[in-house]
Amino acid sequence: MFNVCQTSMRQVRYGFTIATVLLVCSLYLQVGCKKKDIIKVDQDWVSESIPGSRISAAYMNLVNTSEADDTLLSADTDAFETVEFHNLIEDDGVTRMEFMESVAIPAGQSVQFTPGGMHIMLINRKKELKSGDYIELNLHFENAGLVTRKSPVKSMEEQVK
Amino acid sequence: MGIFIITGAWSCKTESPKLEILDTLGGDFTLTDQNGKAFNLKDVRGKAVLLFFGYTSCPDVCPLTLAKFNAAYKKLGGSADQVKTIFISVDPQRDKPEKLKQYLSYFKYEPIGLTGTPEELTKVAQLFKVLFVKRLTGTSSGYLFDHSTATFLIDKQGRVRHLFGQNDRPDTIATVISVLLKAG
Repeated sequence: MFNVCQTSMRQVRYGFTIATVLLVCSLYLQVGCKKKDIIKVDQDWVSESIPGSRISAAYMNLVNTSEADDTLLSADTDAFETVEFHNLIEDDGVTRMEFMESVAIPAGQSVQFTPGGMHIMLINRKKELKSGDYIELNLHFENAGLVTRKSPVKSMEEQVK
Repeated sequence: MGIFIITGAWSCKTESPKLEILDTLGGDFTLTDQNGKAFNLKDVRGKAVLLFFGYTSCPDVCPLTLAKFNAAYKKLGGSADQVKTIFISVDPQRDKPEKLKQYLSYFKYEPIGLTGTPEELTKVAQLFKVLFVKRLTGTSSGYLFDHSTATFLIDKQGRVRHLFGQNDRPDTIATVISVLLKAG
């Protein structure tokens, strides 16, 4: 009798432990998923390599779906040594590119990286990029954390029609 | 190295191209082409010319401008062979003729790439009243250029007739070129 009680108590304890572990895992996964969903990425592409140039640019639309402001802190990719954010400013017919430390994405708003405007500058290409390829861009946000996006490579012809 | 020049106050609007002769801009000059040979603007007399200042390490405006010309050439169809594009690099330190040759080979309509000494480039920029200033970024991009993004449309007699801006689409560029070609 005593042995039976001990066994069932042990089973209950095991049951609790497993349930607690499952609950914690599920909460962790939910939070993780929610964080990733904070920022939506669309309309994204990367310019094809031009021979002789190791520079390229990435463009995309970032939507902050949360109720809190967020900031794009940095980005990296295996395809280039460095990634920087630049804004193109045209003043009296003269264009100047301004380096941006980070890019604010206000709550509920979107920010666009577009040709002739703010763009993601990809510096020192490590491999050739051809139309039809995809490159993985890691975007690091203050709140949303890491958002990884596989962006298609487009030729210049595909970008300008 | 900073290269200066005067900024021109011009309008890049193209709604109704008047194609007046803009005689305060332009003129003949000699630079070195992508094959390492001397090139004078007179060498393309008899053709309409799209002339643009840029550099091959420019990630956005320069390749997009050249791509827009590419699209405009397509729209011009049979008239396209009456038009030449000239890309003048303002970055002689990095854009040697061989590099220009490689870079421009990407664009199907065979643009002419030009470079020169800083002094030569400064003189040409003065002719067209364009500005280009080398600016150290302090980041991995090394240095960039602030530069005028206007494209000069030059007629078959070598005179500047119109300026295109960054917002002009290939359709507009092709239309204005057609008007110029029809005018002779």
